Amino acid sequence: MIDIPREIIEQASAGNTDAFEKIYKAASGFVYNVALRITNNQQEAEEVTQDVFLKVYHNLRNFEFRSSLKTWVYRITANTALNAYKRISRVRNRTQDLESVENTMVFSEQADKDLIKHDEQKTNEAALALLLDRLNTDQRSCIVLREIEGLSYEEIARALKININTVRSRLKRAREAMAAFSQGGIVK
Amino acid sequence: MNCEKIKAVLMTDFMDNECSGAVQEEVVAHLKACGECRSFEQLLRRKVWQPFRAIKAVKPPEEIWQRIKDSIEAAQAPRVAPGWSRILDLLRGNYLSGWRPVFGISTVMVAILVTVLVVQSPLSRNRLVKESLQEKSDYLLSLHHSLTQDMNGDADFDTTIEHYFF
Repeated sequence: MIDIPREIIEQASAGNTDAFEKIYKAASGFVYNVALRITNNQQEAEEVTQDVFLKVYHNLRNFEFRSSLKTWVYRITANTALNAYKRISRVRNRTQDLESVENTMVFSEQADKDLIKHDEQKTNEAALALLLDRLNTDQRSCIVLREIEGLSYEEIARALKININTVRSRLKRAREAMAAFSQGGIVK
Repeated sequence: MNCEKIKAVLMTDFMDNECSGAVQEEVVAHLKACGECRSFEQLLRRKVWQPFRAIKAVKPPEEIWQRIKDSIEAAQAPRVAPGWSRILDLLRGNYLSGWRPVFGISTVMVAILVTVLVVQSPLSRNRLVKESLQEKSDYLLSLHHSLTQDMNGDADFDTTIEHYFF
């Protein structure tokens, strides 16, 4: 995500929609991709993206430039996407609706056999979704911010409001879980 | 560093390029000498690092911005006509906010005064009492009249059964 000039932020906070569109163009790729990888659901990712930008717009006048807009957007995105993911998980655990599982790109071990039917990109996405599904929400948010958007440990710590060593330990556990799952021979 | 520590660094700082120069050199030297850690590093690259590199960034659908824009514009649009909004503001007390306690107290005082005047008025009280007494006495007189009629046998309800017997 690129840095956004202060004057654009000030214009957008005064209600200038064109200036806000510039912020959207600069940040929407990051927001959408993080939301997509955390929720593993295209429709939810769209909802999260919309929610994040409406939150940004309505709270922009209270933004005091103490931290960068980027960090603020990272934080709102991670929180909104994690809340959406928790909501989906609760519904999924309650209903165990196989149809909805199929619609959400989250693949079970049984569905892994069907992956060869998808094209390469779909297969890679499904394999990644399968790996991410092994992680808890804390590990998931850390690994997505690190691997999808390349945030540094310090940026992740600021975005999630956690200690830098907590970032390190969550990444370690996430990778341990992913490696252990891969060694089980399910992802080839 | 022993193998356990090397593996921990491989899964974090080494993989994420967050190592200091000295640690980086130590890990590289260890990997050259240790086959087990080298295999572990290759496993991490293949199974943990590579899946993220194999996917492309997805472009958000165009209609998201349109939905956001619509939502912002809907929130910005005035909900009532300007003329009505001024009247609503007046009713809400937005223009007279400083005078609100004064208006409140005076309204209560006027209400008490009116109640006292109505209750204390001798004219209204006498008239009401008179009318009530007159109504009651009229009703008692009518009852008395009908009872005496029954006792004298003058009562006639003009029904078929009366015509048959009498």
